Amino acid sequence: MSGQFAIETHTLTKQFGAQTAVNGLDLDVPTGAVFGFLGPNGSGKTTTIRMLLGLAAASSGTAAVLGRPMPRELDAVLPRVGALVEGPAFYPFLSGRDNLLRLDSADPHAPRASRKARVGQALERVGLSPAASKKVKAYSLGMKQRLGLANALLRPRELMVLDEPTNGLDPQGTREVRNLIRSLAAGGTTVFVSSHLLAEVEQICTHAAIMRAGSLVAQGTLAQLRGEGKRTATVLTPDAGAAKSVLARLGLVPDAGIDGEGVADTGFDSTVTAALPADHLVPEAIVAALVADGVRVRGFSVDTGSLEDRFVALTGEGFDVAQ
Amino acid sequence: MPSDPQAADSGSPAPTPTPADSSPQRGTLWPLLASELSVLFRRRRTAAMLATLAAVPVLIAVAVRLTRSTTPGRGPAFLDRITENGLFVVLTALVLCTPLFLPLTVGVTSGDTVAGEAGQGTLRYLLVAPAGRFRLLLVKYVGAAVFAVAATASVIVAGTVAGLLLFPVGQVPLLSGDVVSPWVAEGRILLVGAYVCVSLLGLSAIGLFISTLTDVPVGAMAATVALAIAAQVLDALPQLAWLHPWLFSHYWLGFADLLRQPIEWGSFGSNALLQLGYLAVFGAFAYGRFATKDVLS
Amino acid sequence: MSSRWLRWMPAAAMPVVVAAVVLAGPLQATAPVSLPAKTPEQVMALVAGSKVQALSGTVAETVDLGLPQLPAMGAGASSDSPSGAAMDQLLGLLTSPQTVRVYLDGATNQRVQLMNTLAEQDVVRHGNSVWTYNSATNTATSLTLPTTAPAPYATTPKLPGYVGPDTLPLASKAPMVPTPDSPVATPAQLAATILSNLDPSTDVSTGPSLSVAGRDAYQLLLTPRTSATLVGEVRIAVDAATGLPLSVSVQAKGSDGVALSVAFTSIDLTAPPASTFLFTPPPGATVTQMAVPARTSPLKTLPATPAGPQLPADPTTSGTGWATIVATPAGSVQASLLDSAALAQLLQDVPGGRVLETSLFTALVTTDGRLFVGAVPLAALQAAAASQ
Repeated sequence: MSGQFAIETHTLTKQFGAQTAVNGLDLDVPTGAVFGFLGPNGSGKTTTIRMLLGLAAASSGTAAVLGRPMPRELDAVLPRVGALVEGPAFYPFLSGRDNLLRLDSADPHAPRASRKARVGQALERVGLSPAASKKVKAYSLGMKQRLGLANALLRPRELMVLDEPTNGLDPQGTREVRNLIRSLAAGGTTVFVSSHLLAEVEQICTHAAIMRAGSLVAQGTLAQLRGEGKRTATVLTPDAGAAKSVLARLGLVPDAGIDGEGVADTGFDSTVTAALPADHLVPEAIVAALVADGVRVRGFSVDTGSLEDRFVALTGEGFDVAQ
Repeated sequence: MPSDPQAADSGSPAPTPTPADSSPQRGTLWPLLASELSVLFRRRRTAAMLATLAAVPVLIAVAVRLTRSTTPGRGPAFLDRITENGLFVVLTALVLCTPLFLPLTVGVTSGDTVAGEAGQGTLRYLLVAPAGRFRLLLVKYVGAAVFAVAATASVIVAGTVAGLLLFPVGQVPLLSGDVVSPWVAEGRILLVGAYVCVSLLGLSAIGLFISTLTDVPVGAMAATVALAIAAQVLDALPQLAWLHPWLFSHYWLGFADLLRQPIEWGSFGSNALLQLGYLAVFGAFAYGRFATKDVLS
Repeated sequence: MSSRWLRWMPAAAMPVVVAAVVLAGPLQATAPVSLPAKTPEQVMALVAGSKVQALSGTVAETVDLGLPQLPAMGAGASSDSPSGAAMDQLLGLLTSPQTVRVYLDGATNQRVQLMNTLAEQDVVRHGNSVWTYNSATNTATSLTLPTTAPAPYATTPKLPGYVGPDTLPLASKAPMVPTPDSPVATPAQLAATILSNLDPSTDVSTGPSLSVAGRDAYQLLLTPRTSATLVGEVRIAVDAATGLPLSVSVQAKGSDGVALSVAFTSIDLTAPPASTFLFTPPPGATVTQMAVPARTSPLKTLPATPAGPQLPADPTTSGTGWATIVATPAGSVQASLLDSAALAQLLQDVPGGRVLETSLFTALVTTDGRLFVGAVPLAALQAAAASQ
């Protein structure tokens, strides 16, 4: 029910003229989750976020954020939500600190007395204190990104909606953002991160959803998403040819060896891989069959598919902009 | 069904504690307004516009002082009186600024209100804050109106100072030929200033509305200024006499009625009503548009 | 979505509200007024017995003579010669609405203010002393009237620059069209002129009572009995309480619109402060002293100053009543009078000369310099020109 989900949408749809940007989205973001919202550029992630935050009206369908319908109860919901939407945007002629003061005074719920202190803390938290008095036009993209995060952190939030939070950050900054998200999640905040960077999502998220061309193609826990991908058995052996025929006899379809010349027995170690259907034999039976046939098994592993495989499988075009 | 309001209400908020100090401070427009004004007046562009407006009376005063020859009936109204009385610098400047420079600067400021935030991307952060769309629009309009006051004040202050420094000040003749003391005249000038400020309210509302239509601030500014000019062109065409009383610029130069003896309040009232009408209509349009607008910038 | 439409509600409602407010004003003004019935004779007696001596009021004059309208011009901007400029100004008065403030107190205290954009022309009379002031040129004129001063209302002093509206119809007996220096004919003046010249050629009746400047008024309808004139109907609103004419409007024959209207938009029957009539020219103004010639005919009171166009010698009249045609001898219209750029736009070439045609009157300048004017169609003027 609603209390379980920080974000819940039903058949949420957004059309721009004849074009459908988001199509019948049923999104369930459990409370307390770090939720990765994946999809190629142009797949409708940002449009979805805009609808969740009441910036754009849905063409049809409903959305509830923190258990309240949006955008009807926008005024009650948004003070509890911190957001970074489609990159940071600031007044270039104001300093970082003044920008935050301005955005904080836009919130009628924000207590005036603690404004300066809260702005200082938020800047401290993203490591921008030394540059707080500089005008934003002198900021690098990474500094602006940090300032955007600081804005989302101005007050304790129950939900953080972060659209591409590591965009423009150097590796160290990326790591800091990951730590920040983890610490937020540890404090009980639900974090909704949109990204096209799989590695990032894989490292920090507990849940994820994958968008393709405006539609949701998969969602669930990270384990569920990976589990639904194919398992692959990999054999490391100098007897690639023999191994291949054993695997074929077991009903598997082995690939070419990765190392060496095809699958010829060269005496050097090479790998033979084969997709492993979920209902197929247990892995140890494969090893037993290989050994029984005299194949020198020097390594054997069964990999559940990486999120990347899953992502590419579902979105087809990988990182290309969806048509 | 989460779309069911009852289900939504029954769902208790997340276990995360709601910040104790988050009680909505209803009706507190002031922090946002103060922030808006501070952002507006800290912009270099605003300062430049005010300085330009202030330069108009100063240039007039210096030019008249240097040439010392003005023919009655030539040039803008009141120009020929400046050498006799410095207070006419202000009036001459207002005659020049009211049809052109003031609408220009007010058009820039009011056209920038929403479109500027949208073009910059800060609009989405203000709305997510959440500033509230009505509240934000109201603050934006008040900001534009305050700028109109500041712009008029800029002309009046600069004109008064330049006039006092460069020319003698004595009994001031009104349009009716009667003379009044400089203090009474300065009072009349302040009334004229109030009249000019009121005159700009309608244009500000139009600019606000246009500003909600686009994410390109320059477009909104240009459209607003173009409308101000178009209205004055239409006002000069006698074939459209039936339209004239409905043009927001129709009473702009009516401030001269405050310089008659006795004061003719008719045009002040008509002007105020007209501007109020424009404010009501275009304010409502602006709200309709802004409250339903998808913020995609 | 319904909430989406709800937010457009103010935008939909506000124009309606504004329109309602706008329309409510005129509706209230045209609300029927019930007054005890009076015959036309009783209303005319009411006017004749009017004792109003003091008032402050604003008079709106609107003219729609069917002339091609001219873009607003700066004073004299389009003409080089002084008489051409004067003509421009007169034509401006003929084609654009005017607002005039009138202050009266007794027979000899008068002040009239013609309110232009950013300028004003004043005529102030206090006793026998008359001042005029023009703020655009910052000029003042002073003159002292002979002790046997004419009665108020019917006259305003004639001053330099007076372009001779007497040559226009209806005004042939008293000034009616505003002139640059004596800018106004109040409804009272105009009504007095018309009513004092009524003859059997006019049918007088009463129309529905109405409200003018917030006062209940009877309405007199004057209709020419002849079909030879362009004038369709003259309406005079007469204040029920005081007999003061509050508005005069003239309709052209065959037209529903008002060709000429002079009406109080606001009026206060208390005496204005005495200071209103005390005028001292402001410092810096150019002051001219004027001598007043004896008043005989309005046409002869015109001083021959360079600023004023040369006016014709004794005119002759033909026809009667509303169809009267005024004619001047050959050579009386000088080229300088036609210098006005604005006038040049209004004149049309016709067989026998050039003509100014309006919905209320026609003026024909023949090739030999004769001028024919009357509230009659062009054909009547051409016939008159041909017969002389």
